[in-house]
Amino acid sequence: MADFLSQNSLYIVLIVVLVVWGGVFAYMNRIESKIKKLEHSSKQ
Amino acid sequence: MFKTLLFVWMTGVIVLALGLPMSPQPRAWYEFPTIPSLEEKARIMFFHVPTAWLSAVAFIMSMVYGINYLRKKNLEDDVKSAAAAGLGFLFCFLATATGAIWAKFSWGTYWNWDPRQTSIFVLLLIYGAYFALRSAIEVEEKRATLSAVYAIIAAVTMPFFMFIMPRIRASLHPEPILNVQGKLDMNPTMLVVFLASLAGFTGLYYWMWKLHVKVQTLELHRQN
Repeated sequence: MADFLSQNSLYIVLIVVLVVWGGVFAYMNRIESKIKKLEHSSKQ
Repeated sequence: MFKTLLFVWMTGVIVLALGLPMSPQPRAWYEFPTIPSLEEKARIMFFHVPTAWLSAVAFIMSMVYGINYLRKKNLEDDVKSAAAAGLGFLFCFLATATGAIWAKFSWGTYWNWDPRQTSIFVLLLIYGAYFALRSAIEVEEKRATLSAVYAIIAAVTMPFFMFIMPRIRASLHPEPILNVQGKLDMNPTMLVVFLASLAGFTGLYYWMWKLHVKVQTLELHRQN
């Protein structure tokens, strides 16, 4: 496994970028749900 | 629906951009050609160019909403203009950072004042001054008016720094996607992934801009 990854380090880059993208997406989703709650409470 | 599509789209773009194999003489449709001297480092193009493109789009949006504010004096236009400028600055910084990382591996140094690096640095300073201006003025209407005028002037300088100056001075930067002859010279598979990345990043930018505008509008209504 270690040999495979050292020869194909691009896959490590791919995994890291996917994790970063997943993190950004989850963070933005969370912000959006919080904003919706704020909008809802400000209308009441 | 939009969010799910964006997630799947961008995940697909990342997998294709970093996962498709490179070959000196591509035979299959899924192979990228190896570009001499760039090799695997060419893959940064799928992330670096869209961030630079989005900073240009954001600065133009900031100008358009600035003009709208000056015409209608509606503070929501100021919020939209400032949100676009903020995201433009963020994407401009990302383009600079990804470019510097690429330069480290291609030129051996993060920064060497290449015309591209110099012009994007000046652009960062121009938009940095925009936020300094905004934070220095307390009165909302005055801040909005001056920011709108500044956003217009800054956006007028943007094409010069982003598109013209790097093309009139000799640069180590690889030839831009749209070359000096105005032609798109790219392998079809690379072009499809590149355009998909451009579309995905634009969707992400739009989502971020909408969220930013919503937060700032809530803040505006809370203050009034």
